[in-house]
Amino acid sequence: MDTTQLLKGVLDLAVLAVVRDEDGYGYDIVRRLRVAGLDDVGDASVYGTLRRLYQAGALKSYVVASEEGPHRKYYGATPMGRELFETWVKKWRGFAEAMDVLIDARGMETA
Amino acid sequence: MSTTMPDTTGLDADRYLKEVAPYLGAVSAEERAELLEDLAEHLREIAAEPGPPLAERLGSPEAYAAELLASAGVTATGAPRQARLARVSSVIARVRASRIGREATRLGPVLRPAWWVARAYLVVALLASIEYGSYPGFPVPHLAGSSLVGLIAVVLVVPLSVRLGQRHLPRTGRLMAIGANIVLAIFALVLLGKVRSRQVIYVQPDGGVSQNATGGCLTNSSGENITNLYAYSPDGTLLDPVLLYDQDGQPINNLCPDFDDQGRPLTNQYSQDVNGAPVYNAFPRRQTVALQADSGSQPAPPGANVSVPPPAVVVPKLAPTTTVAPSTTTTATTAPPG
Repeated sequence: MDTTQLLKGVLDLAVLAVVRDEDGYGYDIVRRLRVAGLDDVGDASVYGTLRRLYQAGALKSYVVASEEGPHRKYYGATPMGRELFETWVKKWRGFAEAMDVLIDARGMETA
Repeated sequence: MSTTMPDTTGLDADRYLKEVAPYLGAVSAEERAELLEDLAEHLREIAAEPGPPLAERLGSPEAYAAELLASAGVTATGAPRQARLARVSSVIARVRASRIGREATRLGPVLRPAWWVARAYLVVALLASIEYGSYPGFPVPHLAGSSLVGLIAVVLVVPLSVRLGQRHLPRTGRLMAIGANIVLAIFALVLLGKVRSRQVIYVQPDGGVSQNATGGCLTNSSGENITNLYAYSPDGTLLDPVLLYDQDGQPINNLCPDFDDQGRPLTNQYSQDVNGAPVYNAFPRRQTVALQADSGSQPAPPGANVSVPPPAVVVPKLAPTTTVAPSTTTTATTAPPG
């Protein structure tokens, strides 16, 4: 299955999870997601998600000057973002559990 | 990371942004401007990170734009238009993937600047042919009576054309530029045809450009093309050169001196003004005829040319009263160019 399709639905949650504890800039967030195991995550998707979450008020952003390169735009979770994160985590757990059950039950039937 | 990196990476980011931008066309202008501004910063940020060029890291600009629009939840204005654009771009992608397409894609960026220069020349040449109704002064366009003005015009238009080529135009501007390019390309073909056949391009009263064909040639009463004109003074002296104009002050230059009366190809050499531009209404024109090996019993060496001599004429004796007719006096408006 194409993991990019799977990612689409959970990218908001993944991005919020990454910036929940530590603010990060675009490229850094992509790197953290990849390190966490989401290898197929694309820069455009993450950047688009950051934009959308920011416009929705779930993220705050600020610019940090850099001496060696261009300024970096950092993103961090707002209180609303954290709330949103908690809600989505609950939804995700329920969803994942249901999927697990579904997969395991099917797996046993065919075995 | 070296301190010199931001220079080149900035360029890389700008280039990639330029390639992505057209694919963001489906959003509103306001949203697009904001998106692009943000994206420019973002791409520069990524380009500053060590790694391969952006195109390699981020994939095709089209896919990048699509992914960005989808994930950013940007509201597309007019879904049908977006779908139409997508269809068009899929066709373009298929053409690009073909062998000719790949070659064109490879050569395209190299040849574009050459076209920018060429179209600047074509713009001036087009203006020149509109001004004169023909195209005097090939290869240097003859503008406002002088090839120097034409040359200066070309030199001035070249940087404008190059800048226009480098700029990223908005959609309507881009469409207009494409239209103008097509017109100029057609004009270039007409011009090439003219240079090959050594004919004169005429601009029709309705503004359309057509090549001098059957209708435009000066003919005698038998319908044969007049290939040259000779003016004599009343005492029988051949006047060389004379400048001929019609009743409207238009230069008479619509001769079709391609073949002599035996069907042999004629080569014409035109008089030139002080700037070296040909003057097409100066007569008689120097003409040579190429001797063909099979045209006579004596085989001629290949490439042999013979000058066409003036005709033998007997000038009538003019009565004194008809030498100067008031209606044919030269006015200031018909002064020869230069």
